[in-house]
Amino acid sequence: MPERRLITSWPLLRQLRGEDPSGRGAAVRSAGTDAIRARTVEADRVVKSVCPYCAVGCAQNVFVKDGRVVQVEGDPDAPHSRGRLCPKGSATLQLTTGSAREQYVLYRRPYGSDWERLDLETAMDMVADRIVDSRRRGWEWEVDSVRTRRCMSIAALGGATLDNEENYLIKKLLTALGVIQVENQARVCHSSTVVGLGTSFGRGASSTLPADLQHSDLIVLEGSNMAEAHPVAFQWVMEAKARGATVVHVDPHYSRTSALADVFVPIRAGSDIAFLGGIINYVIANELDFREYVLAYTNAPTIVGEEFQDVGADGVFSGFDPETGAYDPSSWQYEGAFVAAASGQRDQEGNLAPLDSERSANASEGGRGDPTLDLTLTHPRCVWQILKRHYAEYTPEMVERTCGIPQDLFLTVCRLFVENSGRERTAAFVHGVGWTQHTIGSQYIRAASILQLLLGNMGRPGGGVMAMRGHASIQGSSDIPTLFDTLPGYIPMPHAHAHGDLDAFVSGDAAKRGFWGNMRAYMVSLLKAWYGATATAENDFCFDYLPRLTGSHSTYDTVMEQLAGRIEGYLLLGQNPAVGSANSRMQRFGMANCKWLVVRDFSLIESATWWKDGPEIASGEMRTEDIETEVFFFPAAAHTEKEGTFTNTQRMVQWHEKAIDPAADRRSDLWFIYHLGRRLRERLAGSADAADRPLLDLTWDYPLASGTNEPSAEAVLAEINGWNADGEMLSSYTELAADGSTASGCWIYCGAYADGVNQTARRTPGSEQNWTGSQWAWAWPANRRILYNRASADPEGRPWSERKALVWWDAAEGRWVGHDTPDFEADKPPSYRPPEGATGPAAIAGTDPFIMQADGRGWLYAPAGVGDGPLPVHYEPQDSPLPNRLHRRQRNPARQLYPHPNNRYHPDPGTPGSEVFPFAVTTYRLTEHFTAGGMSRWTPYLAELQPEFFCEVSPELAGERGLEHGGWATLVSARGVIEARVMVTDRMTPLRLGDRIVHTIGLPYHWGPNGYARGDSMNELSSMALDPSSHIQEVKALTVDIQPGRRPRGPARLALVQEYRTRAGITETTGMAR
Amino acid sequence: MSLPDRIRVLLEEGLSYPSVADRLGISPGLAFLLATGRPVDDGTSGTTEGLCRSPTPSASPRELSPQELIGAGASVPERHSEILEWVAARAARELTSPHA
Repeated sequence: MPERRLITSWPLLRQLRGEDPSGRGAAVRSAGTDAIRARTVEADRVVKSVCPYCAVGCAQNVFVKDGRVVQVEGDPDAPHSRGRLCPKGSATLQLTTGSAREQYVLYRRPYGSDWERLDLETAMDMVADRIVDSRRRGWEWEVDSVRTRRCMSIAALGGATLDNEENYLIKKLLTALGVIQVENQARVCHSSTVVGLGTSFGRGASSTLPADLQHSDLIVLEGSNMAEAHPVAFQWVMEAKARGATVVHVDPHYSRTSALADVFVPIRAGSDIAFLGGIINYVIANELDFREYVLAYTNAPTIVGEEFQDVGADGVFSGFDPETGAYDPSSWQYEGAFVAAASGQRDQEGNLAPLDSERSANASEGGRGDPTLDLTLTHPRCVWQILKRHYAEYTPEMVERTCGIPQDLFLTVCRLFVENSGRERTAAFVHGVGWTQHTIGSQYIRAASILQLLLGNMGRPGGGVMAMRGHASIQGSSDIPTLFDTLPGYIPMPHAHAHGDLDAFVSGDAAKRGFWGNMRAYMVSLLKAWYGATATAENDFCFDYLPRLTGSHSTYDTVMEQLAGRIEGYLLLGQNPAVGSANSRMQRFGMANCKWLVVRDFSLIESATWWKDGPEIASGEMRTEDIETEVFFFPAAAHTEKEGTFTNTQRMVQWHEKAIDPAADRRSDLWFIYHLGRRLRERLAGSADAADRPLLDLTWDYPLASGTNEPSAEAVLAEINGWNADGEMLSSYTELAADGSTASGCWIYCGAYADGVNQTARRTPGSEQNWTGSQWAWAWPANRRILYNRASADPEGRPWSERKALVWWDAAEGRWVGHDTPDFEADKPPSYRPPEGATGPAAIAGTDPFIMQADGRGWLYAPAGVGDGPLPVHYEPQDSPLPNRLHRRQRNPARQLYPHPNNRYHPDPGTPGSEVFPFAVTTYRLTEHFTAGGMSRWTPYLAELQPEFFCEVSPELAGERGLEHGGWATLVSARGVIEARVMVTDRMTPLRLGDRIVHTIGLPYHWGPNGYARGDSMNELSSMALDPSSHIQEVKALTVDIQPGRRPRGPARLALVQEYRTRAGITETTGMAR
Repeated sequence: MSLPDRIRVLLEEGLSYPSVADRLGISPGLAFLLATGRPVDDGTSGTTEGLCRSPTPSASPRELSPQELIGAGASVPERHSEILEWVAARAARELTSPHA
């Protein structure tokens, strides 16, 4: 009876009669509560996905009900993330389903004051028309009589948040169009890592995986706030700590990482090379290196040519040209040998000039010579002795006066390194962009690499250099690069030469030994993938179709080209330079000088709206009605609305499945670039212009799904993997051929689709395999999870230590076995010695773990590849409050500078005007926001957690400048002025360096004027001054003034900056000295 | 006495993890992690206590998560014939066998 049920459901009765005597639980549970079911239980289906935020690549389960995504949770099966998601990953549901996402194409006509709706197909047609027109006007066949075959009037930026398949087609299409100014976030984040690790070890990616940190005895986090920037990966640091590891955090800013470390080392921003050099000196001077490892696996014994001169008091190596500010690295080479670098600066010899005949002879068959080794390490020109002399002045006293680190603390770190390295113990470095984003950033990574080689930590469990990258697929967008200077798989883009054929390209750049010795096979296979049947041996496999570089064409060079009026069109594909790139003001002025702009993103980011409401509109420098730039905004599909792969920071390529179709005008970037290419080919079909042949001969026929005609990402992945003439999917890059019988879009990804199975979609739970997780997804190269793991065994193939066994030689089986896939030819015995004249992989001995290096060894000294020297040298940042106390060269003499009225630099320390910007600034991430904020400032959960831009100042600085906690501060540089809320905290440590106290201000960099969480962009303050090898900007160390109160508005904002410049006496040559 | 040792002593005295955590001023999860070397939700990675040349120890069984109960995706991807056919057609059009 209903009445009886009503009575018995009465809470008081349930309390008295039931099992909840307190009346706080089951007794008062309502019918409404009873009816609630977890969305995960009610879902129709679950798809496997990957978090779209940072590069940890946490696995996600996406729950779908009635055609809608209803929940996103971590996947507990994943060996690397174990079901965790940080606040950003946990906000994925809101990111992808929230109302902040645009649905329709928006169009701003030239000189228009507002957006208009535009039909998607019409918008695509209009963009295609503009590309055709702009390309014609910007076409260039040659420069100074040297063939370049390129389009200089169109540029593209993005994207590290895109799938590998999208980046592949973007690079493929734009290269076929002759567009070389193609860049993405990788340039501004970890390009220094690629140079630093690549030249040291042979590959420019993280050597290990976060889960391996559990085996570390010492973890040193430097240039990284891992607990906050990569929270889910930080669980592995905690695992290590639980097992007894020591954790050291070196940083200008005390953070949650510091709070969980055993030792915190406050360091002056921009002085890490001095610190690392000090540790190197400690190891060498006290002979505490892992000598057997050093002798067998590094180039310590190699003798350098007598032309090499180390830096002296003048702070430059041999080969420096003060007129050009560049080095000729030829004097750095080994004695009697010429070795090419595996990464960094390559194929730049003879830029715009014929290849030098002597160098051609060096580069030709048999001309490369053999390095000479001195195993006693006593020859004055052996690398060991050069290293020893080079770092002799990096004493504890020097470290203290340069870095602000007390000597006893510094020596503690040194002892921890030495005590936790060697046969039985290993130490790992973890780094982020605190190291990379400097005008000497590549050398930061080199310094860490040198130390890890000296201590024998490379290739060993718990060792290595863990580069923590920042975007979901920024590793992928480096590997399959939307970058100007590389082709897929780190093959260099060709530079313009008078003899620019395939033979000259390969012989001029490929190492004769090691796996780069097979570069021809990788290159031919790529050209076959791109040009199919058109690419034949007779036409050099269409090598001539590739546009040529004539120097740096980085994103910052593109901005200069925009300002000069040479860029008509700009495509932004999931990147937001208006606030996210250095000198954001110049970024916006650059865009304002373009005829047309395409922005693809979720929401109306600052790069889409600067013409309407940007800072220059507010200041009156620009008027909307005067801006010609035509703007197309295309709403992008979320990762849940498309399938494809992301490559995370440990080189793991994970397939993410599509949960639902995108709604309205939202489309994937794969759809966008494919159909743009289709339109362009239709428009140019039948063209007799030779400039159009690459586009028309491009292979561009992917299967399309019905409905929106979405191209098959899996087909694109298959092309990236490669196949042979029998249509069989290749399993390894060793199967690639130079005769045109194989095709592969990216040789290092060969194996991702082995056996006709999408290996990246494998999902064997972590509980069913060991810590390397090799059955979850697929990692390049060849599914090896820890690189250089041959070095975990001694020259005879036995583990250096049973405690640290990883791979070892099994003589009975005649192969390498172990816990990981050997990063070595499986059946090559330790006893193998190359025959005379051997080339390629056959030239790698059974004792050479660094198989991509020309000599098979880890490079303590880099004879090639790094543009500012074979060894790291301490130089001060472009903006610095202190003079260089090591030598008279204040800054990196080879750094790239961009003199411009909007890019003025600060005076040298100690000179008149330098006191105007007395305080250092460093920048960092917050857990709750993501990069330039495009995926977090519009997400209410995240915006609510971190709503306002703030600056962190020490109590001492607050007292000195009258700053109040919770109040406002105005920060000024020669480039711009911003305001921020003040957080007075002892997390920022004033450092004493000699007679000077250096205050550092901490600034998170996620803000911009749009979205829910609004604020000024830190990049209003930063300048364009770049590392010469990686072309990365310096945003981890700059100088400012800080004053209490809010900044001026309108024209007064600019006036304040000008007032500061006048007071500082800044001119067009300030800070430009080499 | 190190923190893990202090935790173990208190556990041996009969305190619960929350009580230990309360006593030491740390979180219960951290107390569990430091005492056992495992995260409190017993993450699924088959970590090895020490690396050695013996075969990797198999992980202990774990309970199925709710997500598995409703059928999460398979761990082994399937072959997609339409992709392989497309590849075969392209190879036939574009590549020349070295044996030809």
